Amino acid sequence: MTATREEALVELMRTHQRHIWRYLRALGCDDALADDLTQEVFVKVYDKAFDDISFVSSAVYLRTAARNALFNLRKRQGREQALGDDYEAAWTLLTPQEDSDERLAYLRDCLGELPGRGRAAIDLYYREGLDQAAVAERTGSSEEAVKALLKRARQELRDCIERKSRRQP
Amino acid sequence: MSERPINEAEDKLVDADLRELLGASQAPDLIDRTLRRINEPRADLQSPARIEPAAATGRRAETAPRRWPRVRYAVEALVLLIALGLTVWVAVAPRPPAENRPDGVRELPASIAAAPQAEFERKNDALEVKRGWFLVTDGAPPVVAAGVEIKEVRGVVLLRVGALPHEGELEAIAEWLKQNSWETNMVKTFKRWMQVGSMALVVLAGSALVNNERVEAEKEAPVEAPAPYVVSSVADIERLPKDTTAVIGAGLTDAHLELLGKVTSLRSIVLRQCGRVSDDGLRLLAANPEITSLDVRDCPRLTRNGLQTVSEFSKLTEFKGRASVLLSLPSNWIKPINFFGALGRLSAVLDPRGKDAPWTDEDLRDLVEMLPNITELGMGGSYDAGVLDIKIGDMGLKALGGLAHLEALDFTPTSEMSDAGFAYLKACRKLRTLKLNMTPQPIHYLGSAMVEQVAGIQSLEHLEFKVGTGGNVDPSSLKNSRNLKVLRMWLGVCEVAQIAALGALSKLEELELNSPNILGDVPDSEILVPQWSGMKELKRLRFMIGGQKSCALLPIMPSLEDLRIHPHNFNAATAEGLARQPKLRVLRLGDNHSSWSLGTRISDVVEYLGKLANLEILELAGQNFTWRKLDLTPLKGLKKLKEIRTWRAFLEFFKDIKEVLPDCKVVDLSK
Repeated sequence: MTATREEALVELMRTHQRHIWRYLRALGCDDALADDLTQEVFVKVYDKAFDDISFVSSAVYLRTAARNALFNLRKRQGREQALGDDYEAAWTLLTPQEDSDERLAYLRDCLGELPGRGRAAIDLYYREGLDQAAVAERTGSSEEAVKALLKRARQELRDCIERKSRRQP
Repeated sequence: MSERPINEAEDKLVDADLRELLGASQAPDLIDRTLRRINEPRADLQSPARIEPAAATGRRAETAPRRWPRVRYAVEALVLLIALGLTVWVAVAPRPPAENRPDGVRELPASIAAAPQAEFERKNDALEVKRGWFLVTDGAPPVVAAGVEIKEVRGVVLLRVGALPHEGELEAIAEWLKQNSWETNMVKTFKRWMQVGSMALVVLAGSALVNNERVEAEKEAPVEAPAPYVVSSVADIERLPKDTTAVIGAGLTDAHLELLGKVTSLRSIVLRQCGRVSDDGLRLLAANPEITSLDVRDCPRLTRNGLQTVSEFSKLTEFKGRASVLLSLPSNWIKPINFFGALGRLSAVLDPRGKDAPWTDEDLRDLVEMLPNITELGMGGSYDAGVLDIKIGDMGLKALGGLAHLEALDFTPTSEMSDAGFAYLKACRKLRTLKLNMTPQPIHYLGSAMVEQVAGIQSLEHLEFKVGTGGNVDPSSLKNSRNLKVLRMWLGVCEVAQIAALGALSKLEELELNSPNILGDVPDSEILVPQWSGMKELKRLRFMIGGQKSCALLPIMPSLEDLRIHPHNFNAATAEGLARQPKLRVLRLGDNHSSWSLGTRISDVVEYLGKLANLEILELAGQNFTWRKLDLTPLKGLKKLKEIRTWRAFLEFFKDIKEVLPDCKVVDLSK
């Protein structure tokens, strides 16, 4: 491996690796699998002597490669299933500038705007790591109600991120 | 909160973000691990015994020690002790005979994978295979068995010790093949299985030396796209065969598209003269979700609303549309189009906006930003009352450098462009086809300098240079464009040496040089261009040189099949020379149908043509050809001639030729 190619790959990874990792997480990979496939994507990119022409074109290309890597893995495991266009549409809707850092920043802001019960449920479930049954016990409601409450909260957060993304030029 | 319920994909995305923002999940820095993977021997080929547990390199392996440090140290110590013990045992223990050892998978180099139960033995630098299946790849040591040696593998070879396998045996190794990224069905389609000595083998990709003979992989048969049916009426559509996959629609309306939407076998649709097709038509066509290729560049009424229907063609891999409409799509629609653009092909044409709103450099920058995966761009450029309707200059060409996937580009050079602008096109690393259209006004300041920059685009395979520079153009700098297969140029005045330099283009299959006025009083011998003998792949040559120069001394070009020269250059010596071309079967005399005036020399032409016994097609297409009172007897020597193409020949000619060559077809190109 030549130093120049290695340097180019390092630069490409510095810019894109976290976005690709998040994309894989959004496709349903756990952390370890997202780690593994992200590496696989960049190894393949290295092998193909990829040209990093612009941020957007590279981002789209790498996401395509990540999606294919996951699809192929599932195929090998006999769990062939289509990764519907919804995932791509969801990503482009909430990440119009291809910058998932920006999306996380919006999410942080949106959490501050989330009303009481939903916010509490989110905190217990995600920040404290309680399962839904434990959240139900803490909040004095049923597990089903917690499930619905969390989903509603995520829907509100989606709307909020979408609004904030649209305001950007 | 909006009324739109959150779908599964959006829910997972927000969920993943929340886990990262509030929980323990964090986007890691994977640079070091990736570099290690690159620098380590690849485990692309995995025999079952060599598959590493995922946890060994994964995130879980890194987090575990934090919780159980003591256990980790104990385990490490234990592993170390076992390793030491094994090392001592390996060093001192008597080794069993090789054939009794287990399959020894660990002894395999990374470039060879063995199926379970395979047996082999390392012998010096080679690997002797004794039983079972193996996949051999680049860098593998020689693989030997009784009566066969395989070495210098540059690709992938699948082999088994024994007879040629039957289908059931291939099925039995399906799982192992899958682990090595090969599907059984793919392997089954290979027909070039070989039985060599005690081994059956197939070169799946690349090549290998088998008993010192280079064996190439079976070339993938080019998938010939079926010729499209042209439809322009209901009757045409109703007559389509049931398995029709491709159509060209000419002058269709929305109602026709509704009918085509019901032709479930259709995969490819090109719409031409589709001024009556509206957004509704495209929606009706979307009733067939199987369509993979759609060309709506000719449809001016389609708007962004209609184009959003494109997402309903879920299997679309090729889309050709008008740039103005593509650019008007909102970003969340553009992105999915880009997405399939990365997988397939996306083409756009800058549709005419008229001279009041020409396409500008800024428009091109927007286009590159929004459609970065575009593979084909037609910038065209037409003239409206003498004014070019594109105003693109050097900065526009610079913007095109951002199209990493661009493979084909055509445009009319403008007066705002310079050779420096063309230099920017070198950034399009995948550009294979470049067509520069004819300008009505000569662009004097372009020419050789522009050609020199174009020659620097190393990926080019097809270059058309129809620019009317009106001055001298030196094509010799193109000698460095070693990947060119097709070169078509309109030259001004040039020297023989400049043309001769093109002989360095060894991959050239088609060369067209028009109207070069050879400088000075050049004798025939100087038009020899012996350097052209280097163009061993050249099949088609159009060599229209001015003046009455003989082409007699063209060098032997082993692949030349089709030659067009000016009739002024055809004489006895030329005919002698052409008779030496081993594969020449098509000869075209004439530049264009309206200007050629061969006049009284026609009898000479006929006389000399008789020497070209291998000709199958002869084109004599001069408007002022004097056809009458010809002695066609010399043509009797053209035993293989199947077709004569003429241009407004007199009836007598048709009659006379039938007498001389009764089986020859005569075609009048003017009809």
